[in-house]
Formats: sequence, C-alpha cells, structure tokens
Amino acid sequence: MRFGWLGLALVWALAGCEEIEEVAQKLPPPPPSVVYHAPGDLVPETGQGAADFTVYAPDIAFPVRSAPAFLNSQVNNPGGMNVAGDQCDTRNYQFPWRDTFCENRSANRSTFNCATKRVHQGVDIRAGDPSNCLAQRRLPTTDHRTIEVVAVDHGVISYVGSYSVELRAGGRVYRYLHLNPQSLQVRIGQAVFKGQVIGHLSNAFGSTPTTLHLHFEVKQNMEGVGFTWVSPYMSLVQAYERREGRPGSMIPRT
Amino acid sequence: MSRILLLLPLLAALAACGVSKSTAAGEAEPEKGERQIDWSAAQKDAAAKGVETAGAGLQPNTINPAAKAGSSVPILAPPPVVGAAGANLTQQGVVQATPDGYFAMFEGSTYDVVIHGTKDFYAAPPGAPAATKSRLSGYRFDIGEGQAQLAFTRYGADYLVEFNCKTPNPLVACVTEAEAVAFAERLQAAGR
Repeated sequence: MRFGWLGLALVWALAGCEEIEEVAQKLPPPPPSVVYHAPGDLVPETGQGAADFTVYAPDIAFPVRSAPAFLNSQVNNPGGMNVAGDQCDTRNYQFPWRDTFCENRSANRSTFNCATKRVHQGVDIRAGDPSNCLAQRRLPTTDHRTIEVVAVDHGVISYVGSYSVELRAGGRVYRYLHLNPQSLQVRIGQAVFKGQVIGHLSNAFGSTPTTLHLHFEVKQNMEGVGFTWVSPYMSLVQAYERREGRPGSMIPRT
Repeated sequence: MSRILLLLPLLAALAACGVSKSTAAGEAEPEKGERQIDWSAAQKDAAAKGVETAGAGLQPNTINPAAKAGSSVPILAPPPVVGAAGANLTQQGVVQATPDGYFAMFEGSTYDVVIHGTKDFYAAPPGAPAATKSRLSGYRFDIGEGQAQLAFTRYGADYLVEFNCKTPNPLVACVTEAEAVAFAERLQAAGR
C-alpha cells in the first residue's frame, strides 16, 4: 500500500515537473550568468590561444567569492601595457570574458598545450566594478580588503610567498598571485575547504604594484608531461555558472 | 514514517526540475589514475645513503590529520648540506602528508623550495600531442611567473620541485635549469 502511494506521488510530482517546464518555456530566459569568448580566442594579434575545451579542474569553486568577475587581458585591454587608457575603464568590467592562457609574454615561459614558448600560463580575473576599482587603487595594497578570494578546492596551503599563495589538492596545484599580503587568512600547512576565504584581491607584485586583479593558475600532473600549467578557462566558466546558478553563453570563435 | 517516504520521491522529482544545463557541460574532463609506487627501490636507496627513513630529521607538520597516515609516495628531501648555488635552505622545513602524497617547503635566501610528490595523475586530453602520452622521462624544466619548476618521476611517483624566487624578476628566473637538476639529483628518499 505504501509503495502504491509512493508511485502515485512520483507520477504526480513528475506531472507537476512537466507543468513547471511548460510554464518556464513561456517565460523569457534568464540572462546568462556569463558571456564568454570561446577558449583560445584571444584578443587578435596577441598570441596563439589553445582552443582547449577541456575542463581540467571540474567542480572547483570560483576563486572570487561573490563579486562580479571578469576574465580579460591585463596587457591588451585599456590601461594595459599595450593599450592606452585606464585600468578602471568600464570595458574592463563587463562581459564578454576573454581567455588569456597562452597570451604572448616577453619572458621565456611555456607549457605543453600552448603553440608558442613565451606565454601567459594562467588567466587574469578582475572583480567588482569600475567605482570599486577607482576607490581601491587610491589605497595602499595593504588596505585592499573588499574582494574576497576563496580556496577553489579542498586541500592544503603548500606555499605563501610575498604575493603568491599555492593550494595543493591531489594531483593539482592552484596558484593565486597578487593577493593582499597583509590580509591573508591562511598559512603554510593549513588545511582549507572549498569556498573558504583565503585573502583579498589586490595589486601586490613585489616592489611595483600591478593592476587590480587575480592571476590564477592550475598546474596538473599530466600523464607523460608531469606537473604543468593547463588552461583554467573552461573550469572557471563552469565554476562561475555554478556560483551564479544559471548557464552562461559562449560566443563561438569566428 | 509513511509521510517521510512520500516526501522522498517528491523532493527527488523537484530537484530534477531544478537542474540547469551548463552550456559547457559535456566537455572533456581528464581521466584520473594512480601510480604504482616502487617502495623497495626507495628503501634500498635510502639505506645505501644511510638515511634514517623515519623522517631524516625533518619535522612533520601534523595540522592535517592525513599527515598521521604518512605519505603515500616516498618523501624526497634535500640532504643536510644543499649545494645548490644561493639556496642556503634552512633544514627546519615543513613536511606534510596529503591524501595523494606529500609536500615539503624549505625557506632559502634566493628562493624557497616546495617539493610536491603525488601518486595521482591525469590522462592527457584528447588531441594532445602523441609524444605526451608516454611516461615522463628525465626532467622537465619550466619557468613560471616568479618561479621555476622541475617535474620528474622517481620510484613510480611524480614529483614537482618549485623554486619560488624571493625577488621575482619578470624576465629572468632565479635558478638555472642546471642548478635545478643538480638540486633534484641530490634529493634523497627520506621515508614516508
């Protein structure tokens, strides 16, 4: 008798599900959580991107806890080394995201799936909005405490440098650069859980500050290659979609 | 009780309604594997070099409960006198087991060294160059932002040695490949 009721309830619930879906189909779709260029579709003439859709780190948390976040170039966007303007330009704080893994760099840095040898081995993430950017840049690095950065996975902090934090999680190492060194909330050897705040986004870069952003890397122990930098781009797209609770929308490469 | 049982399928069905499909869903994810560790070779090496395999004088950091279980790969650590130029590493480093292996960190004057050992690896993604699908042989040296690194395999486990520069220079690494390899070759199996 109990199973009869159960079955009836299941049929009723599934029928209700169809009705919900019908109603949902008539409503305008919610805006995408993120609009992004395809992986490897760099700013034109800035390098040979890797059209790599692999989600190397599935199920990670997005490294910025709650602020709106924008992946784009720190070199080839307004206020960057190659483009006139200001780092707090509204164009730096809007969609679509741009991949910067494999973007050209002057130093001899390489990784296994970038076609050229002098490349950017991670992605850069701005967060917040232009007004927050303007307010933060007037402050010393040590006062940057508005954008919380979190552990993307359960793991252990394996290194804390002058402007870098490293999180070891199984056969992966996640690297965070440019955090405020005075507001770090972790120490070497500390176990952290996914989503735990570890510090704040800043512009720390040794003696000379950089733009306000988080440089984020994923090193993965790849068969036949060993630990190497892999593209974090699609892992971050999915993490952002999960954080925002709705899908994003990709602009295909033309 | 029967009310609770009634609620279960309802909740399951409603949860199914709420599943949103990611535009990126279905993209390839790397397959994970585990290495077979050659403990006898590590023990033989340690014995030949007279290393105390109980820890080689290192102080395990036991903040992580996993540390109590020991490392699942042989711990490689620098010998008491490290000859790498400019390193001057302190011997009181941090050594900590992780579920897949361990990491160790030693402070230095020119760079800090972090050694990662793991039994976990990931398959190369579809479309990766064929050459990368065989096991890593020898050392792979790379320069990164504010660091350089050396990847290699020993005793069946995979290791990563990172040289984190104290004064990062965006254009020049603080360690050469020859220095990094010399450092790695002096690492000794020091227990688990």
